[in-house]
Amino acid sequence: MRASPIDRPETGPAAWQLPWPIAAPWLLWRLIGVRWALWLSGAAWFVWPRVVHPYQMSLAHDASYFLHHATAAWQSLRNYGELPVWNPWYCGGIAQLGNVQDSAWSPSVLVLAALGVEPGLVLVVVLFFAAGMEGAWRLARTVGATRVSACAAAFGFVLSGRFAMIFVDGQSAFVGFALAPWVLLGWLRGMDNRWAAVGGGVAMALVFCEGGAVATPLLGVLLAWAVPVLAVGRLLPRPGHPWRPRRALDPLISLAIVGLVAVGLAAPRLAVVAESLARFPRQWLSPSHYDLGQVAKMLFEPSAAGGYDGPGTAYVGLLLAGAAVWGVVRRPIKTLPMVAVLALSIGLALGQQGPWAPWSLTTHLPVLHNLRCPFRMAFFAALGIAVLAAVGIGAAERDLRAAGLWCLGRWRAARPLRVEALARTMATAFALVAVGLVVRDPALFSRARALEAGLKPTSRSADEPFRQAVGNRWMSHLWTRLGVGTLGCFEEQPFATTAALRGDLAQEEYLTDPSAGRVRRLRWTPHSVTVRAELERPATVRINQNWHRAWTTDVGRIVRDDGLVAVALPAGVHEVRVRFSDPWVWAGVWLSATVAMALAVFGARAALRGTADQRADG
Amino acid sequence: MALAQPHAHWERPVPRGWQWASLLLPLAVVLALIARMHQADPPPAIDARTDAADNRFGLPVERRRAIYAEIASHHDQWLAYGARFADPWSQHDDYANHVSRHVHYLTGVHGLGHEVLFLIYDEGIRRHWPDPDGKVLPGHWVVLKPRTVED
Repeated sequence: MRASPIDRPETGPAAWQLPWPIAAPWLLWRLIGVRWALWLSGAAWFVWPRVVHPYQMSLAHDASYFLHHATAAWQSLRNYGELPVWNPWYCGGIAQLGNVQDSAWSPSVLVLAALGVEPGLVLVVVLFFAAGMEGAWRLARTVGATRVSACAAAFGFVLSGRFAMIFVDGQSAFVGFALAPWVLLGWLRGMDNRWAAVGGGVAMALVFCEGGAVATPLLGVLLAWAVPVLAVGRLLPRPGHPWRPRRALDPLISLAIVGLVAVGLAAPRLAVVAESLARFPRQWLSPSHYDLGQVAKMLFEPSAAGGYDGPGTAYVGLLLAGAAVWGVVRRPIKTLPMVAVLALSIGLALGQQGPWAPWSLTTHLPVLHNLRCPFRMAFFAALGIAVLAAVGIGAAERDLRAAGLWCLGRWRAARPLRVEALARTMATAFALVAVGLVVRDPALFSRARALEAGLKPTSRSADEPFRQAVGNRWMSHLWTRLGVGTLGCFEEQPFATTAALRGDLAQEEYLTDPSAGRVRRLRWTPHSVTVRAELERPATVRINQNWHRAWTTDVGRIVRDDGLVAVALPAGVHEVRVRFSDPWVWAGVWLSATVAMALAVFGARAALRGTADQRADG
Repeated sequence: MALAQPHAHWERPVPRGWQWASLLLPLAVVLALIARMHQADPPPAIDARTDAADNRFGLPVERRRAIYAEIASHHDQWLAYGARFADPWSQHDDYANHVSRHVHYLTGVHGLGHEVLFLIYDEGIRRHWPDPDGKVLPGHWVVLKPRTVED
């Protein structure tokens, strides 16, 4: 009997032995792979009505909020050629980059810039979902699933109920949760290979930049709790290996690398967000807690009316759970890391269930004292169940193949090759059917729930000159598209806004003392205002936007006038350009670029060294 | 607790056609999605200019004033509803919710889009049009102070 594919050493030419025209597509193949077509198709199926009607969305409040911010970033980038750092269309102007919920500096903004906001958002969801499927597939392979059975992890995770809730609740930034398998994979494999931890850090940086106000801390908390559990696991003696207590440090070292790389790469955003949160901490809801039955209902009860955190909101189905149990039974050692992740996710999802609950202990920490919505840990619980289910199906696939070989071998011992092919085909067919069976239920349920959110036309645009209006935050997406700012707004942290903002001005730039002369707007962009001031005596020109330390001027000096940005000018005729330029952002860009370059250089060196070693080994 | 080591995939011979298919198939799916989305037309832009006769959105000023008055006439009532909140921002946010719902209702009454109705609302505030009681809506808003569940 041949060894299973997962254990079988493979043979053939190494990459470095191939000429580059062959090696280049080979490398991309390793990165992409035909299965990406499957993931992309699966994700497209999930959001297909949105593909057909990209200019229609579920306009729940949070959808309007996130669409507003995406449109603001798109306006800055596409219409004015400026990096989206300041959002003048909301609350009288707030730091877009300093908003922890904003996705303005995610690479996904480039998709929006290329396709337009609404179609871009649809494609971003598809790409994130596909990336999540690939990550879950790889994670499942790492803990012992076969190529076919690992598809259960891919579809079971991304097509679970919590991802459907992205459309129901309108929180498009939560697509970042789809990258959780990549972070976990990087962390787990990073214990033996530090470069894998670097990859996990890259994924974590992407999660944070994709409006990861929720996904980043939850993922960080989960990993932090898993560190001691896996540290104990790595202290267990391994047959054939000397006992090395230092292995217990590997989970912590790997997590540290993940964190440092994420901080380094997300530096432009992180610095401004940290400043913003330090000055204006987020406002939070009251503590919440759930009992085990409620969490089980989220995961296993296909209720049509789940609400925000009710039954079915993280639906994975009982078949997937059954396969997961089988996976743990058949592969108890290999699946231990994922069992730990699953147990911790469920434990944390219980919330403040008593003073010693993991969530309660977590919220005693200084930065995390206002962590909320523990039920979102169900994202990771779904991932754990899906991965374990893949292992279970994979184990059954291998068992079936072995049994088939044994039975058929006795029957047709003279033709072993055909026997093996037949046994393999039977096992693969079984795995395909099993994957289809376990993911069918959650996929259909989640898709139906996502569609229930409905589709309504998004906003028409208008070419209005920029001005602040009283506006309305409940339809905040309209105002950016109209080119008009809305003073009425909502953020989960109180940015510095002023009551001196007006939504009824004849012109947005005006003199505090109208008798001192006159002022006229020449040019406007989201990050600059150019005015011509004709003054008989020194005066102050007010701009109807919030003050921020990053405002600068080329004439006179910037002042904070009743919370508004203003310029104190001497008498005379001036053409004044007031510009928003944040040195913190540029410092972050330099740091991020340095980290990226350092990783690229050291990564290339490590790869070359590895190649040289392979050559030396023959 | 040893994880399965990465397999030696990189040593596995892969047919060149399969390699190219692995690149081209996902790309084809993405391009097909983009092409399908491009079949949908974006909503037409609004011409928000005012002509010499003070018509805007194809509506004479009297009609726009009437629409504005219809929204503004509920101002005191909606503010009173918000009094259940202690915090001024929360009160105004509740008021804004009523405005938003009423605008949504008016889209069916007047056959106009949300954007046009909100631009008329903005025009009324900016031009200080009076409501049916002769009062003018304030042109400012309270500062942002997100509520916790308590207030």
